[in-house]
Amino acid sequence: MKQIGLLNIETKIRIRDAIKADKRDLYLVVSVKLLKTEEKLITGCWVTPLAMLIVEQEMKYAFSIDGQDMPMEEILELAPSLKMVIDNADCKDKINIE
Amino acid sequence: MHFPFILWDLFLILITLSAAFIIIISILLIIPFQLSFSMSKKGPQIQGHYKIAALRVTIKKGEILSQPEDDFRAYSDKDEPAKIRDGKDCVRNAEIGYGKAGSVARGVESEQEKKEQEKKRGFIQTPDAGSLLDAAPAMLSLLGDLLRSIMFQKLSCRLCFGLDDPVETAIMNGYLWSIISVLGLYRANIYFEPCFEGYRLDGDLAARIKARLLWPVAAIFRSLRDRRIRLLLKEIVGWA
Repeated sequence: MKQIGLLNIETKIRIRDAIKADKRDLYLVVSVKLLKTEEKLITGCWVTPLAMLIVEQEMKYAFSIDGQDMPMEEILELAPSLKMVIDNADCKDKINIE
Repeated sequence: MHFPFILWDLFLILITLSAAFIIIISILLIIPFQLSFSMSKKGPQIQGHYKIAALRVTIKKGEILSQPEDDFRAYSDKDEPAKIRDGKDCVRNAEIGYGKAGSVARGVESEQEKKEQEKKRGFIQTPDAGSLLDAAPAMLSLLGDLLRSIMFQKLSCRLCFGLDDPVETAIMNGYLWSIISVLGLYRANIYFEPCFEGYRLDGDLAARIKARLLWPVAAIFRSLRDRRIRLLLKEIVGWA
């Protein structure tokens, strides 16, 4: 009789491409869940939004998807690669590109 | 008295030649051809081979190999804007020439590229969207006829792909699995794996196809009876 193994769920935190809204850049942090078999074959995946970082000229702020304010440290802890986005925004403020 | 005999000989030769031609064409249309190919892509390197055979006789076989240097250049050119957008180094933007002079230079380059592309395209023209939409049902029926006339003896595909955006990767994965289910290819060894780490396209593809040329040729002739298809072809060739 064929044995049925339990499926593994692998979670990854990823950042979506920036969405432009007037002068704001919106960065959505999503969690990607992969459903894998014992043979490491992916049988399903789903994406859930977690938080959002908004870069508005000199202002940068974040909030969780349920509408709660989110400290910057918390969103950076959630998605460390956002630090690069923030550094880049700071860099853009300093250098005026035509 | 000799003149009619020469004519008769010529007539016989012509009849024999045309009969031989018809027989050869009929044989080509009736005998089953077998095309088998396998291809694998790992990073920038593409490797594979193909074989065309008929009646267990190999007609043509060869290898598919990509030039890694060209691929690398193509990759780096494609990735350049993404790198700039990510903003790993903002100073680089100014260096590359995103100022006014840079944009003018890029404009001239793009015009030259357009001209080169037009030269490369040759006599093939882009058809009008309206006539493309008109011909879509006829094209779909042609595609259906072609697919029915081809028999997949073996099909296996394992693809690992990723787009820039994880959400778009997930959506694309959903589309691909939907297409597989619509085509009813459950039994075929087809597997798509989404990769959420960025741009990626790796995988293996192997297939063995058997077909008699008679049915695809018949399907093409049948579709050419449709006025919309003829109009589309004329537009593509540039006769319209």
